[in-house]
Amino acid sequence: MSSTRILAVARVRVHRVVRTRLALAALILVLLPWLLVDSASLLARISSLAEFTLVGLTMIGAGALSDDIDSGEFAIAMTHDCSPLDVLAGQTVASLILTAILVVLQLPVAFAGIVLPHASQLVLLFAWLSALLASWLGLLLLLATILEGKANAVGMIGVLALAPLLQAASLVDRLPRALAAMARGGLELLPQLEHGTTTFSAALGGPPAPAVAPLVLILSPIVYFTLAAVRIYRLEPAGRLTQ
Amino acid sequence: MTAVLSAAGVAKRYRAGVAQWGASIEALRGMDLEAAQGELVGLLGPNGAGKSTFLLCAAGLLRPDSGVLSWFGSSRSPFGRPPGVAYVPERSLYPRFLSVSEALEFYATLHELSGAERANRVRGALDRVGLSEHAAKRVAHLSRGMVQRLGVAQAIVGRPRLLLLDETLSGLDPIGAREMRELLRGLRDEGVTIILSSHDMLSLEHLASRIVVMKDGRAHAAIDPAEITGERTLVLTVDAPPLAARRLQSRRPTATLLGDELHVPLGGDSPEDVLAECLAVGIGVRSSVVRRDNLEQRFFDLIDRPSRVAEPNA
Repeated sequence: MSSTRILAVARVRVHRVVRTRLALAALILVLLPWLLVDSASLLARISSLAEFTLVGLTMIGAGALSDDIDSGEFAIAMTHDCSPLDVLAGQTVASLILTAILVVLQLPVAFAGIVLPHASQLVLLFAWLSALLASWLGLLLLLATILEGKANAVGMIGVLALAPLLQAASLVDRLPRALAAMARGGLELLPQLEHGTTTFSAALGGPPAPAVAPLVLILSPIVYFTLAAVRIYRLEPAGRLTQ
Repeated sequence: MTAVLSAAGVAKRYRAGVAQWGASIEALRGMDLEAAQGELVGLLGPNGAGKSTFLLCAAGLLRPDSGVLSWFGSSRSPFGRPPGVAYVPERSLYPRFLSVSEALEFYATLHELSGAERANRVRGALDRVGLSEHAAKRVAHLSRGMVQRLGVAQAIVGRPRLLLLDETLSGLDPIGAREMRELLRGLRDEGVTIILSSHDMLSLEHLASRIVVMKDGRAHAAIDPAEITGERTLVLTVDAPPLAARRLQSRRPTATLLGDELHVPLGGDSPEDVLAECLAVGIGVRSSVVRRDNLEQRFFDLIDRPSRVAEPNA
């Protein structure tokens, strides 16, 4: 790996987001919904921060990552002495920078007029927030890789609405008892915003968070990045160019 | 001499995701090819013959399912990719949001060149492909011909020893095509080995030292452009072919009977001269067509026949 190449890739990725106006679109997407958030509760505001950041991150981070893995830009960079790890590391650096900017831009709105708890609790909250975001991103990428054969997480964004939709429509309750139990278990395994809020609540001194959520939060990104690593090992960055 | 690129029995099958019911396409079924230093090998074949897939494998961007690929005499390690190999794709795969010079600067940076050397290489590549005047233009705003030039520029910025070109001659205007041919000829003369996939038969005929015809994912035949004479032959469909052949051969010994067709090399004669001779010796001509010995004719002759060579260098 080479820091020169990693930074070169990161710079090009940031250029992409800025010049294609993805940054502007993501910024509007994460800032506008704050006009609707009407709660003095810190928990609600942190949940909103997680939700809005996730949308922005998926738009700019996951979209760009799928470019790297599936498109020819990744392939052409590799023909210039660049390893797949250089490209992925460059992309990671760019995604982290952009996500940090997204979060920082929301902070003044999110915490306006709120008395913050102890710093350690806040750090813990942000750790869980990151886990939730990474988990969702990993899950979207994993589904896209399996279903479409490519890492187009943006195409999978509808999955975000799947669990609440199924639960709200009570579809699960209409299934035979055994199937319903399995479906409920499956839905519970999806990393949901509720998992995040209960975790935040636990961190703020509320009731303890369910044990299953952290497990899913940790497993989803690991499974995805293992899958990506296998593809990198097989040197298949150009696998879709001729299809 | 060690081959710059050697491929033996290379096979590749594409597999789709479960959303497409696990469909798969067998793109390469045992491709063999060897290219020596300074050689320009043309790849010719119908769409779907496996040319692009082979070039991607040769560029180290696709891993073959089976077979052996080696570059400069050694196979690639599991984690590496072949050094000194550049690839120019058929379509634009360059960052569309960058300017031409920014894109080249990016690729030069990946080679970890010093600032001065990087600027020098970028300027040299722009000059060589004739894009200097368009250096500030966004890649997204380039015409197809300019994208092809950018492709070659990004490839030569790393000073490769093996250059793999996928349809690089398509989309160029006549002047651009001539300039590109000159550029490729110059690179070949500098000792760069070039493998060029193209449907532009005229260019291949004039550029390539050897043309490999691909069909169904493998090397189907090889053509030596030096053997293409450009001579015209009158092909006649006649009544009673064996008798007609004997009669015509008494006046034109070079006439040959191939199947039911009489092939008569024209030399300096016109088709009308030969038809008049046929009438004079009582040959009933049903139809006639003039064929010129060129790459196109040889390609069509070859493509419908069983494989002529097992090894492309045979």
